[in-house]
Amino acid sequence: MLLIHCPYCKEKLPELEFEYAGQAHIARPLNPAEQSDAEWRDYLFIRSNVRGDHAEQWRHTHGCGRYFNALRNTVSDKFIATYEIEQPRPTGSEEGEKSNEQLES
Amino acid sequence: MSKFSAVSLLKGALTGYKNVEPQWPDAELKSEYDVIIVGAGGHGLGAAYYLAKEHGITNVAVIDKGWLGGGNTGRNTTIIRSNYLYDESARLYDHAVDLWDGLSQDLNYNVMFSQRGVMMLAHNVHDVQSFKRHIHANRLNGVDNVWLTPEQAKEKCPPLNISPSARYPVMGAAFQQRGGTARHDAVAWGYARAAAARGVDIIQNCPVLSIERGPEGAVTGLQTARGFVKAKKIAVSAAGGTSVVMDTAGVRLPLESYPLQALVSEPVKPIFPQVVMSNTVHAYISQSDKGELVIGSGTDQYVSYSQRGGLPLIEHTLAAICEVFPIFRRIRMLRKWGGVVDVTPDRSPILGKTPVQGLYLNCGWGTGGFKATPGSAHVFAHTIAQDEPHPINAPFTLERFETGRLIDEAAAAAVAH
Amino acid sequence: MSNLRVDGKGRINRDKRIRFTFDGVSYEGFEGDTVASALLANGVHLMGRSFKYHRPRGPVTAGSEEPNALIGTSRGGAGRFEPNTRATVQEIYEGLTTVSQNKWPSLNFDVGAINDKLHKLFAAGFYYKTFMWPKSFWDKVYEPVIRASAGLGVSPSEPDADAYASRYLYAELLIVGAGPAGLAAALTAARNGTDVVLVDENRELGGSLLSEAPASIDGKPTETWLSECIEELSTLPNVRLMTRSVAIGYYHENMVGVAEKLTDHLAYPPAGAPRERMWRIRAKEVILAQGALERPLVFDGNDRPGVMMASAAQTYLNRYGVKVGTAAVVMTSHDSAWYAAFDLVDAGVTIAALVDVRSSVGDHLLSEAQARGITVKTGHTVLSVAGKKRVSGVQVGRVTGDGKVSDITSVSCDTVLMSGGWTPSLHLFSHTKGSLHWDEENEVFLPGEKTERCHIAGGGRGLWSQQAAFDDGVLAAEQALTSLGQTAKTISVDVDGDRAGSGIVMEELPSNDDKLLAGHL
Repeated sequence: MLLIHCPYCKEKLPELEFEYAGQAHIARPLNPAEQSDAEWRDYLFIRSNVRGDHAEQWRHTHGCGRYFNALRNTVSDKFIATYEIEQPRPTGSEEGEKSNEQLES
Repeated sequence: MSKFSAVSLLKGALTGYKNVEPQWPDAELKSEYDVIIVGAGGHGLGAAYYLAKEHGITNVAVIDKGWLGGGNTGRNTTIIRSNYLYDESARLYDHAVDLWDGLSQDLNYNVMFSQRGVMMLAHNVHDVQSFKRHIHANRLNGVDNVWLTPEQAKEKCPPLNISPSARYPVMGAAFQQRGGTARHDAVAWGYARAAAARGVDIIQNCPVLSIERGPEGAVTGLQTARGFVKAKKIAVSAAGGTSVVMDTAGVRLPLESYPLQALVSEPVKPIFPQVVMSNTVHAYISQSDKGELVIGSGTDQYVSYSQRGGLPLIEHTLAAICEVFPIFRRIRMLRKWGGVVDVTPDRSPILGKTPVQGLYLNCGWGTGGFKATPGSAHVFAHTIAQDEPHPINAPFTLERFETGRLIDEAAAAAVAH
Repeated sequence: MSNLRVDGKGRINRDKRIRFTFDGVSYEGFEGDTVASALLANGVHLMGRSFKYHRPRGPVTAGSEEPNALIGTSRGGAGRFEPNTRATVQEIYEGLTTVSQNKWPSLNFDVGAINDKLHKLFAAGFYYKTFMWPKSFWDKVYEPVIRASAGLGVSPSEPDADAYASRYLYAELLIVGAGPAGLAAALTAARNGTDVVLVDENRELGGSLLSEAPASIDGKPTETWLSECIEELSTLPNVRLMTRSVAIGYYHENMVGVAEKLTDHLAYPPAGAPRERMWRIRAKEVILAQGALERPLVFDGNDRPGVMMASAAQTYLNRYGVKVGTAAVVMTSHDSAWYAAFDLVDAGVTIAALVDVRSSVGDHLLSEAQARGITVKTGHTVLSVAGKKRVSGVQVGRVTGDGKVSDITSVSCDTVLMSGGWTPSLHLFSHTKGSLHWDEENEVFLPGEKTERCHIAGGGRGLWSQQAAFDDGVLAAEQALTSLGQTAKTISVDVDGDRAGSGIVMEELPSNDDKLLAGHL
């Protein structure tokens, strides 16, 4: 069971209080009607599923109830950071999201 | 490679197994193949076997970063069934059941396919309605599935607690007699042996670093830990690792990889005749031919490649098993493991061509890919050989996530994911 | 029925006699005995049958690593039968009923033993290569027969009559294993005021100190030192000691699952008391002090009842006051079995031969053996074992330069004690996906890179002496405390009469047989 730091409650708490809510920083297109099918697919379904540092959303369901973001390594399951929902990904670029860790690791 | 027979077995016994040949040779990686399959699980090895057997393509390599059958093929709960709701799924999974029946003879390797029947328990009105709908749909598709009353279910599976006061009362069950289990390792070994006998190279402990593409966009080969290998056709069958491998070809997928846990008890004498699943309590159980109770859990909630699962999940699963089968509470668990399962948004696999010329994809089986092994491998081989999907896997395209023709089988999946 | 108790030895309560049954026969033991130690005291080695060939089996260990002596246990009333319980772990209590498994009609005469005669047909993995013709026979004939012959114990058939409990627990430091390393770590941290939980699977704390007491610790007899240590730990408010508690899994962020057995040693459990309690312990730092497991040696007949680990015989003697036999042959590649032999001789067991596959060993061992009148055969090996349901002798021969064996003689004995050295117990560490690295020199896997805030101490790091384990426990506690931001006052524990040792690793003992067939001719 993971331990997760809620950036709003400012406390590290057991995973049972939280719900995972998928990859973070996927903005809903402002005008869906203008989207092509491919763009809409990308928004709805395509995920980085990265083997490495993964930006993701969590909800502190049994606490403050708020959504927040986290950067977590999907190989070690260690949290690198958790941050408020409107803040950008801490490493500053989206590159980490795209580059997978060495395949043989 | 010599065939197994009663005579060969007896000869081995009498001569003290002095001249035993390896089940398959440890092949050297060649510089070029007609087809390279990434991932030496049941699906990948099976595809290689059918490529050789049915399409005459034998210059094939199956490459794995680990050992053969060491991924989800070697760590699943071995359940086989085809009671899926939609026409497309019914055809695909039932094709697999048809091939399971006779696979041992086809491969000359006993995969111990055991059609002991799969029972899915209904614990509430919603389950009852949903399962009955499945039963009707299945029967229209020629897939056997019948409704059992609680008493009929208990008669088939005596350890079942059908007391109306149980925490999870049994209101009935859907039962597919043609479903059952198979010996998972034997499936990988049997396909490997049969494929190798037809000339397929099996390359273990060789991580794939990237899929290489030419200026036109078509695949040219694979960069591996042992160097570059040329191939005009590359088929990825890498389960939880699919996104990572496909990313190197510039193809991003509607996949997420989750941890999935399962457990095995200490072996006991036969007590549990069927496979029993319960979607509501998130647990499934059967007894292996060796006597172990094989118990499956749900996925953890977050994406992960760690192969470590959480304690609350298996505690929940075991609590559910003990509620439904109270006689098992004193049985100790022997071991537990975590796999990495690749899940699609509609809980149906992606099985076919990709936007990249020469690149084929078999993934997204989520928590239940083992059951489809022969069927999936069979039609995947067809797709690779003909560069055209087989009618059975034609609907399972990657494009469906763009066109919207999803095949939503979340309700037929065994556990929440 | 023989009585193999040794006066003045063991940590059992001789004032409290307990009766229990095994396969319908009533036996007597003492409070503190396990089923295995009590049966061995009565001269019973045959406790089970093997899974496939139904070979007769007896205990090879004295602990939770036991693979052979698996039994069914029950107490009065329905719903309290449990299969596959290790006789080496289950404590006896008045009214305990136990049965052997995987035999028909009886343990002594088992029809299934025919499989052993047909072992050449039933070779490893034979079932993948057959039972395919005709196809229709699989469902109707082959599979039902395979299923019926598989399994070990029988499943319970009644709903469990007992209740179970679970709790969360938080600690600064969790220590798994209360041998020298674990105790030293606990003392260091406890005296520092750190919030410590110490868990051990046995009924008593002490680990290897209970089986092999050094001459003295800190100038006191080991027993005195140990009871003072436990007294100190148990009176400190910042320490929680948990016995009969098995750490079953190591999960993310230092969460360790611990199954505590509460009533399975009591003749009359309090009404409504839970039988077991599942603890989910979350600790800031974890010390794994689980010691090491003795390796068996590979030779023909090494599974005969009467063949066991040298350390197990030592444990049965020193913890339970039981001689596992009257005449033993020791077969070893490691110094530690020599010490076990010395303990056994001192307790009146005849060592018919001390066979060491190494051509030379330390002079101190040779002189100690000589002082006890033990026949030493270095550069020799055991080739095979005579006897069916109990060892009656061994074939011993000299290892020649080309790896073959010559000058073969027979030696009579009723027990064979083997030691192939020691393997660090790193199972829990491996749950964390911590890496293991291969130590070429000592031929063991040692802990490598860690993924959790944990420290390995003692035998788990390949340290084979009690002094080294104490020192390493202190070191691990210091590291854990530093990581907690606390400053540790170091302590020292001084062992007198420590029995350090070394050995070599043998894949298979030398023999004149074809390797593939060794074990079956």
